[in-house]
Formats: sequence, structure tokens, C-alpha cells
Amino acid sequence: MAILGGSTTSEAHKPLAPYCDAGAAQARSDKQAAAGVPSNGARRQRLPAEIEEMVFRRLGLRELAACAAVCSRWHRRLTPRVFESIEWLDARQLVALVSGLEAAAGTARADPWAPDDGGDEHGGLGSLRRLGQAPSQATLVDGGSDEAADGHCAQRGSPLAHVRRLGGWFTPDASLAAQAHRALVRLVALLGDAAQDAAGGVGGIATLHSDAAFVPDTLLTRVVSLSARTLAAVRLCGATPAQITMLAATAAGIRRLELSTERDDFNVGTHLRTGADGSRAPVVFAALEHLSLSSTSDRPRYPLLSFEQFHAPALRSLELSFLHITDTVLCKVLIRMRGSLERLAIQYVTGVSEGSLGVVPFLCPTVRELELTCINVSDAALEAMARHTDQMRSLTLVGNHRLTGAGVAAVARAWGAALERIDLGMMQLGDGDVAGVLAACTGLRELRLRHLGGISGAALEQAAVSRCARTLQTLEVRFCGGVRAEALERLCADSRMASLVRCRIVGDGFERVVV
Amino acid sequence: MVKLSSSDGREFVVAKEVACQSVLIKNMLEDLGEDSDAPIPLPNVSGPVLEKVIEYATHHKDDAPPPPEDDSKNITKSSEDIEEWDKEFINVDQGTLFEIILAANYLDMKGLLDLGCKTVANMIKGKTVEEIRKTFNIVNDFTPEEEEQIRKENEWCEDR
Repeated sequence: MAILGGSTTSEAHKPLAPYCDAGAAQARSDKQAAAGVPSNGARRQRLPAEIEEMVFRRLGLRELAACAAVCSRWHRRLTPRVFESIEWLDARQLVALVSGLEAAAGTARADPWAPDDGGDEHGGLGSLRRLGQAPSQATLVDGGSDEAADGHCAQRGSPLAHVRRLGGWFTPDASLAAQAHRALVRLVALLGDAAQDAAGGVGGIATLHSDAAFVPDTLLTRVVSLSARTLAAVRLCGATPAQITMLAATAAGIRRLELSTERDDFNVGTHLRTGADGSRAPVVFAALEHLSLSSTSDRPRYPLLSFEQFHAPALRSLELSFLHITDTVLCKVLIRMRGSLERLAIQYVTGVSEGSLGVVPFLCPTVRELELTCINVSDAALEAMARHTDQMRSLTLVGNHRLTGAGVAAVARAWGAALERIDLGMMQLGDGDVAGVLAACTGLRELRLRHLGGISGAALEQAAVSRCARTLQTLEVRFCGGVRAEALERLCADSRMASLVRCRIVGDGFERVVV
Repeated sequence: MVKLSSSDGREFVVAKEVACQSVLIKNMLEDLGEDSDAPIPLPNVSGPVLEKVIEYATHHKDDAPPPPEDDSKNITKSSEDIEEWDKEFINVDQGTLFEIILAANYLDMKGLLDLGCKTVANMIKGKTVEEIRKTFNIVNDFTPEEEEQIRKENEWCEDR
């Protein structure tokens, strides 16, 4: 209040400097340019916007924030950038952000950080309610003290209207937890005010990621409902059934959803099929295109259950990582998704048998991109897959130590005409196997090989004489001991590799990129 | 050799490889044909500035062509590393600096434009708001209330 009290209206609007007077400066310099008048005498004071932009691009957030406070033109220009992303703040920064915003909005209470009732959750909600009443009082105070400035400020609006990405707060240590929590509650309240001010405007958060252990239901619900129309990507850790149901019901436009859990007795799948009240009402994500389910626990014990009540008719990409899944579950999931699913990634998953993997293309024939990472898939499973489809566009096989050239050759033969992208790593392959793959694939655009100890430069030379020489655009070799940088350079210089755009080789102590 | 004519009518004769540091002039030469004797008019560049630009182009005529750009992410990092000669070259009054940047932009000389923008960015770094205004002669058009509000709103960035 002391800050606002000191203000006067006398110098509310200073005359604009030439620098800030865009029209005049521009007109003058245009005239000079047109007439060929030497500009040496009357030096121009200001750089055109696109050059200023090049300068701003070289500045960090702190400098941008300083520039945003320099003049109103820069303020309008830079505030969206300063506030675009409120991510990865620690507790102290979160508190600084919120107390600053509150002080600026004049809504700061007399005792903003006094530890109130101690009860964390309730204290937080109490603040939320108090803040909910705050704006009307604040507006009165501002309006009474300085009408002109108020008008100007109202135009400026809350900088929080520019937030597009929100989340990633560090779970603070215990001593800061309560403070950070209260700050978060207040931040959400301020976001609410900003959304109200910008009603009908274009603002809104598009990306939200949160550690649900830190952000309780009520807060999450509030944030989601504030940005219901704009929310496109959500990442939640330890999401509860209620949160997922709420997401589906509130933000219909979510296209990417990533759910993870830290607990090893936590079952992500359960929450996709059970409603908030246990009623098993369908959970529908109409626009969802990508779903990722993972556990960060190193020993997930419970199987991912079925997606019984989970509807995502537009889902085209599914990622399952670090989970324990049974055959039955995988089978049901794939049948459910058939028709829309184009990409399936199974990474570090336990519990799925050879046989089930082999019938993936049969159960879900729309899958065109397949990634199998560290799930110990065998040659037999690949051979079975090869029998069920010939349409696979992209194949990633990494860290499956049992795999040999036989399995890879089988899929290359079956999918050779369709495959556009191959990524092979950490398995037993030799030069002959790679050459076989190159010979079988007629339309390959991208080839990545990593950590293949058994191959040498000879494997790459095959690329020049194979049919994919005319289509290959990207080639990347990482840590394949036998392949030297010279081999890659020779290949890039080879006139038969007409379409090669980008080559990269990385090894112990060297990296070579040819564009 | 190539003849260049500045906005104030001065003529400069420079080696072709120097002139071709400017993509604009390079394209013009290609369009005009090799053996045109007429000076290339540069109506947006004054004599003194063109002189500086030619000094830069002469010094950098043997540089490798700049790598194709690029993700804008890398730019921020590279702001500090200005070569000694460049630093000395760009150590001019602000009016001239701005003129050089404008000329580099017009003539399409990426290296020089980068150098200019880096220099301006470095003039901003580490300065307070008031110092930035002073440096660039920008008048504060905020009301005291607005200024205070903005300062508070942006305070959190100090730590980042």
C-alpha cells in the first residue's frame, strides 16, 4: 500500500521520446531512404523491429524482464515472452513470483507469508477463498487513488494472461513445502483473475505438467478449468482417478496425455477405467492422439489393467514404459485401439510373452510404427510379426539382446517395401545382417545404428549399392566400434547416395556431422 | 573489381571477393553480369558507414562461409565470444553501430549483422532498467505506478 500511496497523477503521461515514437522515426528514415539523403547527420535513434528481435533473441529471461520494464513498447512486446513459460521454478522462485504479482496487483494481504493455521491443505484453500474475494476491494483502492494510471494498467492486463506452459515445480524440501504450497495456491488464484480479465481473449495454458503429489486435486481442477479450451498437453505424475476423470470431462481438447507414477504399488491402468466415484462412467478423451503410461518405480509389481471405460477414438500413438503388463491386458488394449492406433512403443515392460508380441500386428493391423526397447523380444516373435503384416513404416529395436540377424532379416524381407525408418541398437548384428536389411528395404529414408559392436564400415558401403541409396536421407551411426568416420565421409561423397541430406557419426571421442 | 556507390554519392572500388561478402551485391552482380562497369548504387548506406562495412568485409574475406542456420537456441550462448579484431572494429559510437547494423541487414551480411546484434545485446546485459534507458536514450513512458507494478511482476526473473 505504501507503494501505491506514494503515487501522484502529475506526471502520468510523459511525452514520448523519439525512440518510442515509432511512426515519426520510421517515416523520417523512410523519407531519407527514398530521397537518398545522407543519414549521417541525423543519426537514427532506433533499430527496426526485426533487428531488435535479433537482439532480444540473444538475451536471457532476466535481461528480457529488464527490457520489458524499459518502455511501454518493449513491455507490450516482451511481456508475453517473459511470462510464456512458468516452469521449473523452485519453492523460492515460486514465492518470489507470486508475492511480486500480488504486490503488483495490489492484492497482497498484510501478512502474505505469515504461517497461518499451519494446516497445509486447509491453509492453502483458505487463502484461495480469501483471494477469491480480493479483486473487488483492490479495484476500489486503485480506482480511487489514481484513475488515469488505473485505466492504463487495466489495458496492460495481468502478465499471467500470457502463460502458455505451466508446471514442473520442484517438490520442495520440507521446510519450504508449506510456503511453496501456499504460493502455488495463490498463483492459481491469480491465474484465475487473469483468465477472467482476458475472458473471450486468446489466452490460456496449452501445456501443463505437474507432480500431483505436490499439486492437490482442488488446485489441478482449478488450473484445468481455467484453461479448459486451450489445454493440449498434460503430464501428470501420480494422477488419481478423480484427476483423470476431471481432465476428460473438463478439457476436451487434450491431444497429448502422459501419466506416470513413482509408486510401485500404483496401478496407472486402474485409473483409466474407474470413475472418480468408482461408478465406472466412461472416461472419454475425444481429441487424444498420444497416450503415454509409465512408472518411474524400478519394480512395478501390478499389471496395467484394461482400458474398459477409457475411450480415445482418435488415439494414434501409445507408449507403455516401465510397466508390468500381462498378455491378456496387452491383447485387450490392442483390440480396443485397432482402427486408430498407428504407433506403438513398448519400453522396459515386463510380463508380456513372446507369443503376444508376435501377434501385435494381427490384433492391431493399423500399427505402422513399432518400437520395442529392452523387452527381450526374440527372433521368433519378430518372425511371427513378419507373417501378420507387410505394412510397417517404422521399426525401432533397441536393447533386445536375444535378437540376431535372423529375426531382423525376417521383418526386413516382409516389410522391405514399406519400411521408411529403421533404428537398431544394442543387439547381435554383423555387417552381413545390416547389408541384408539395406538390400531388402527399397524405400528407406532414415537409418540409425547404435551400439552395434559387430559391424564395420563394410556395412555402410552396402548402402551405396543397395536400392535404398536413392531414397536414404538420414544416416546416423553412434558408438559402433568398427565404423570409422572416414567410412561415413566416403559414403557422403558417393554420387550414388543422391538423396542423402544428413549424416552423423558419433564414437569414442569423436563426432562428425555431414549435412 | 567492383564499384560501389554510397547514398551520398561516394564511389568505392573493392575486390569482387570483398564485395561478395554481401549477398545482396553478390546477387546483383550475378544479375547484372560480370563485366558491367556501372557502379552499384547503395542508396541505404552512407559513405562513412560503407567504409566501415568494407573494412569488415576485407578483414573477413577469407572466412569460411557461415554454417547454415540453425536452431535459435544456440544463439544465446555465443554472445560473449567476439573476436579481438571484431571487438575493436565495432567499438564505435552508438549511432554508427546502429547504422552499421542497418547496412549489414540491407546488404545481407550475416557475420556483420550477428556482430552488431551481439554488441547491442552485450550493451543490455548486466544493466538495470534505468541504465538500459540511458544507454539507448529511451524515455520512460510509464507512470510511476506502472513502473512499480512491472518491477514487482518481473522480480522473479532475477533468480533465473
